[in-house]
Amino acid sequence: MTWRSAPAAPAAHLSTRLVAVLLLPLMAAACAQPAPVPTRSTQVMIALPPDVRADDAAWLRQLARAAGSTVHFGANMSSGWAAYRMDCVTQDPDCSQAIDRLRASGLVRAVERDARKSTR
Amino acid sequence: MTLTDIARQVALAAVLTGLITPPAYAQQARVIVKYRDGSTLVRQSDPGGRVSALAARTGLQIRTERKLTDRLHLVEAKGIDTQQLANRLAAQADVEYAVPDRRKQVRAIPNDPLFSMEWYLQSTEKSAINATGAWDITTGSGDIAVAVIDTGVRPDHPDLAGKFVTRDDGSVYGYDFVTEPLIANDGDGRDPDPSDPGDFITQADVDGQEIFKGCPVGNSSWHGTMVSGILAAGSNNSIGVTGVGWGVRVLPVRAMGKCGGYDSDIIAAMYWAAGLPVEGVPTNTHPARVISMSLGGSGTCSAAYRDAVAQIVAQGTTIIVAAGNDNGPVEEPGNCAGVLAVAGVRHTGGKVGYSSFGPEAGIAAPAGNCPNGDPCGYPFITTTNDGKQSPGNSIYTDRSAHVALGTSFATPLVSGTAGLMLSVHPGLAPASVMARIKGTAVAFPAEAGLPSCSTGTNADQQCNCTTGTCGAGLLNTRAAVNDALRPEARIAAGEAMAGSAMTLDGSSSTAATGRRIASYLWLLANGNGVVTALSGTDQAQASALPSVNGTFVVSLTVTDDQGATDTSTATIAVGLATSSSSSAASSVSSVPANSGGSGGGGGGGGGAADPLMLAGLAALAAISYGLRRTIKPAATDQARPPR
Repeated sequence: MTWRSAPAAPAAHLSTRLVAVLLLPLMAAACAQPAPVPTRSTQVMIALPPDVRADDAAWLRQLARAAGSTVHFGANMSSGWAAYRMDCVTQDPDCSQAIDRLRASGLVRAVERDARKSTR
Repeated sequence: MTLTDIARQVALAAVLTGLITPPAYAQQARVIVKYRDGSTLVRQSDPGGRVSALAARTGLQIRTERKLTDRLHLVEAKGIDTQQLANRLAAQADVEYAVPDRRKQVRAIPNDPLFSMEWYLQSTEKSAINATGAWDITTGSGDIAVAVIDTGVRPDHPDLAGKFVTRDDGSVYGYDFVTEPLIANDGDGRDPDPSDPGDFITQADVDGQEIFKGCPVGNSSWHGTMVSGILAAGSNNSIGVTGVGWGVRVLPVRAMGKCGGYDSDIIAAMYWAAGLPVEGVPTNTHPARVISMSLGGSGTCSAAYRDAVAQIVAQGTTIIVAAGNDNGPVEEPGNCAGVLAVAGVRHTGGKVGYSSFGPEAGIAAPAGNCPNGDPCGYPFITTTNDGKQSPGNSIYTDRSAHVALGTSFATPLVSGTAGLMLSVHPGLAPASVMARIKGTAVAFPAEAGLPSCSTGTNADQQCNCTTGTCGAGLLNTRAAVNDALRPEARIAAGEAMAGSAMTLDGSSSTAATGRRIASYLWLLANGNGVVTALSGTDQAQASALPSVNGTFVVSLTVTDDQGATDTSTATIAVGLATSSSSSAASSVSSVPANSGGSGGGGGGGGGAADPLMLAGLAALAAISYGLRRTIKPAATDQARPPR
């Protein structure tokens, strides 16, 4: 499978970086919290809005912004649904929050986890 | 050999000829007469003279009087039934005997050597489906494709030769929808090759690949090959087993691989199987009329499955799904509205311990059980492979070393039945296929000492099925196929506006192959103050004149040229926002009018899943995930089948 992806975080402005650098020692000492890092990924199925190409790069960026997570195209399912892989971070290890954000965004018609089935 | 024997054989030969071309005068009286020595009718050589003489003597409308042997004649008459004619002729002084010329049926028993072990296709055991009886009606059409969404197939199995939908070059037509190469185990993602390379899982797989973490170690299952054999193994080919669908073809669609398959691949496979577009995949040029899915997992029916089922059923494809093997709620996608979920029963007709159950189950069928452990008493005998990992030799499942059990295998019994039904009546809509399978089901037996199945408990035990837990009843293939011969009444309505005449259209009603719709009868079931009368009530198209906005109810009964009927009702919306030119009928429900089945079932099936119960049992389903793969005999009836 060739995963096509879009990063979640937009580039930070210079001023923001400066503030961050100045505050970094204080923040580190106060919180000692690690920065969010991808831990694992989860697959989801997304009901697409009309006239969207499931693997379009701009669309992937929109999804990533809405979810706050990197989103990779997986596979087409039909004319209205497609499968994607989302990178989950430590604070949201199963991407529940990312999925909730995506649902709440109104960007997509529906989001479902892409679960595994087995033969019976 | 006595003369009576000869008479019977002659009668049988005559009737068999009649079976090939059904006579238009089937309702006439037919009697075989043996005259005494010296009868004037024996000496009369002119058939017309014999007809006149017999008519004058009996006062009956004799149509024909044909010699079968010198003294044995066939007499046909109008205006009287066969038994009455026999009685009247027997009373003649020169008649030795007169017996009804009854119709016999071809007994389509296949010559496959393992057929005798396929107890579920026969009619001795209580839950057996009587496929043998159905084959007297049809042995299936190669024009009907049944998609098997599974692990792929071993097309090299000799008992599956010629049983698949093929390309022009003779190769097996289908598709492999498994996207993840590690799961696919064939070196790539989606591709046009539906063959099964094996779905084994090694300890190295589990230890070394995140995607296989928690998966059960086991040999390849060849699951799709087993399902395909039950559905459509070569019949009457002198080898191996017989498939219930006999002549129907399998469209193999691969969506399962090592450690199962993702919903997204299964759903894509469903769309494609029905002929609906999936971007990046060539359109299916041989759409299936039935989709058979021997798979499932925990969870309520998701929006993705709901969307797929709605579109596929609207396309005219019937979806049959296994209920599951976890003795819990019916699993996804079997719990989706619009599919027919298959619960599993023992040979005696009670729910087999492992079968999932609940109000979403639509029908029950044998799933295999081993009352005395090894060797298994009531397994499925079907096509498989002996390869532990990659394909080996083509073999059959058996009673000990390779035992096949599970709702996976009950499912193709129903799918094959649907294939046979569509073979005799290709116009049947999915709702009708499902309604007729349910409507002809045999009532569940009550075994002494067993509790009634109850969705409130989750005891891992056998129980007596009810229509609220295992579906409408026990599958009766003979009765379902017989019921498929009835026509299907369909109602379409044009735009409905108060003050404007509207058309009620029944012309899309269908008849079985070789039959035609002979008459239409429209009734105003409930005018509701909106409509007071219909006109053209004996035509394919009737009309109504709504006086005000609202709804009214009509029914349409169609009768075919052999006297079989079907009735549908529709609620018509007038002047409401939901009305449109294409579907003003806001609801249409088919009501079988003269079920040809043994009856006793009825009800059951359909309805939404209980989310709380599903959630509560999800963990159990997840734990048991690993038990679904390897093939080995279950020790008791309660044991879950292998996966």
